[in-house]
Amino acid sequence: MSNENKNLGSLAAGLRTGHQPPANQSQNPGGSSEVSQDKKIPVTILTGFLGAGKTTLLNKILTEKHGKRIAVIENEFGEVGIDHALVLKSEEEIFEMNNGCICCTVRGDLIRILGKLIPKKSKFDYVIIETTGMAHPTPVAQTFFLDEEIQRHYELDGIVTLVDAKHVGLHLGESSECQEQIGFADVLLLNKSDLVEAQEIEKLKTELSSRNPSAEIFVVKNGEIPFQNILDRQAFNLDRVLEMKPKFLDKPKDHHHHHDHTHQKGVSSVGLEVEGEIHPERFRQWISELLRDFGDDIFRSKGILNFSTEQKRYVFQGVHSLIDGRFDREWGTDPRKNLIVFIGKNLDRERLTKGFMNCLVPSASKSAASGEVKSL
Amino acid sequence: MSEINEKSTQHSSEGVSSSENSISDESHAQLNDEIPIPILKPKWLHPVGHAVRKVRVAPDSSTVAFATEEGAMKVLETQKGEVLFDFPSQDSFFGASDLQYSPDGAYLALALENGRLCLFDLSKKELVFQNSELGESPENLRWSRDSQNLFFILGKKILRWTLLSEGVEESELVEEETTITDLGWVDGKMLAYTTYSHMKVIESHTARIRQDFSWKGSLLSLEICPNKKYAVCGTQDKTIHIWNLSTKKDMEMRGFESKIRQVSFREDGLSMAHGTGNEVIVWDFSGTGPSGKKPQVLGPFETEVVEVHYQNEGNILCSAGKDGILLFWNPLETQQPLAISGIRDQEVASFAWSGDDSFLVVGFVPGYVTLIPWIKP
Repeated sequence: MSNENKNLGSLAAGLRTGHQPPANQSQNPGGSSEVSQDKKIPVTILTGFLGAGKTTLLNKILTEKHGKRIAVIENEFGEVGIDHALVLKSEEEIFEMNNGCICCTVRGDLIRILGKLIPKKSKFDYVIIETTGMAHPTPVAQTFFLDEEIQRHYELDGIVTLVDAKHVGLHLGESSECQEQIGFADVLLLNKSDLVEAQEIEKLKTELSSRNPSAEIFVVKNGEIPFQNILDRQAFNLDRVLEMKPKFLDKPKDHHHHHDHTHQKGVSSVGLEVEGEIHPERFRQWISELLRDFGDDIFRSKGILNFSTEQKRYVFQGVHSLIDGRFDREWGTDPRKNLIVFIGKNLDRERLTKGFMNCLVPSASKSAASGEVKSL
Repeated sequence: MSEINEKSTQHSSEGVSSSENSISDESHAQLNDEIPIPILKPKWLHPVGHAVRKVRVAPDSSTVAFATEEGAMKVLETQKGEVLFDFPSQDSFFGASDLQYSPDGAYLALALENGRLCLFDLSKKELVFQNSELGESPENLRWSRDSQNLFFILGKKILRWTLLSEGVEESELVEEETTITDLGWVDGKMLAYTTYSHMKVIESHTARIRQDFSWKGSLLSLEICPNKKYAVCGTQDKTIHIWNLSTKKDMEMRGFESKIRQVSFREDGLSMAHGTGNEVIVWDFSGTGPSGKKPQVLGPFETEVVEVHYQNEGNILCSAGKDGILLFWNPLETQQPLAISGIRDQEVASFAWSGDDSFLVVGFVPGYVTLIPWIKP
């Protein structure tokens, strides 16, 4: 029997399928784990001011022999010059989802291009989106939270921001785009380090770290950095930050006291580590209200939570008022604790700490109230 | 379809490929314990080897054409499915974005994501014209009724190819501030198009704007009702926005499972159907339109609906799903499907009725094209 005849014979004899309707997993911190079985394509967003070295870095990534098939979506002014590289041009087109809700801005060009790439998922392993120097990261990042189709097929792996060590000082105090790009980052590349004195580099690292302590900082020149330091970051994974910065938890204790009852100007962060169990419904209510009321000022939020009802860790990340969470792995022998980080402007540490502590189940709350909360 | 019992629609986790399925001798499918559904068997099946993107039927129904995810295109005769013309893939990554026969059947236009637009002379069976790369992907090909002009979207522009005896003349008709998302004929002279926030009607020869409707949401797709009364737009927000072209009033339909990328009107314009999530929704456009009327819901099915198409001249509606199943309906008469066809577990990519409604051609994502004769059970 030929295959053709077999195919003819496979005509529907009933509705019997291997597909299911899409699962909506966003904003479901207390819900069950509903992760699509299809592998999501990781996406890295590359930001940085004009001249910071984004194109140089991209060219290096594309020429490095890492075995990954990378699709690059670059802004219309980009100049990726690698033959045979899969480069798609895109011009920033911001529009408002949810019938014109101003806080729900997304990048229409990215929805369109990423949508077209979905049927070709088997032909590439990774997507890098290069933004223009003046681009606000918010609509780019929100695209991965607001559009269900994109969310179903892609995963925001991380936001990498290139910082020009020589000129960042000119923008840091004045440019909201520059502050946002630093605040949004999972990885900060302090590029062109050869043009600046070592003492100045250390000063810049401290400055960047104070604005975004959850980002890993690499000092590089000419965009030379192993690709594994910027790709496959798994932005959900706070463990990685903790592994690489063992003092991360201890450092801001003074910082915590120092900034009590104050609102930080500019971009800053609030991180908390709390032992005990989180009540899922209380957390859901708190985070929903918090992001509803202060979502404009909170650029990024990330966390690993120990839900009282679950054996698995609940991990989430958010962009402004949008969050996306899931249960990842069993706690196993790891100490069950809660880590949460907010990056943004006008952050009220005391209010955030109090709100988060109220999410603990009573016994844990009592313990934490006796001094076991750590500021990150 | 809500009557379909759970047992007969039960999900099967076994990943059965089409080649592993044995021939079914059954003439009916048991969708419901009481109502067996006749199976429509295909006339032929053509293995493609690549994912199928678009299928089209020639205006005289003598040939069908399909284009693939790899950018290849073939023309098949309809009796046995034999290949008449083969345009091989030019690029392994960029595929076909659209394919359209000219209304006189003399030409076939193929748009490719790599920025090329190709024109084939079907009597000569050869490529007679192609552009130098356009830089962006040409999309949404629309022929004029006289087959002399081919309109298409190129990013923020609408371009026009005019067929001349000595070749093709390209001209720019429209340039917008945002990407143009869809294009459709209102009548032989008026062309409508959507951007993210506007739906405009222009004269196709002069580009003079005749109507301009704005909307704060983001418009994704466009269909003009055959009676020219309504313009229907799917949006990025999973709503449908409708403008009455006469009264200029608009309305919105909400609450859908997924974005509405495609709708189909019955030939008289009195009914419109679309898929959303795992349901088919049928709206009554008679009288004052769909406002205030409860739509018919066909389904739910176990997989997403990919496309729905009414016949060109009849009342039969066909819906196709990701499960490879095609169901034939007459929503005027019954909520039950009249017939069933397809290839189990092979996602439908695209399908089209023949001009005389005697058959439909179906392309499947895993790489098959089949012709299914329509015989009313």
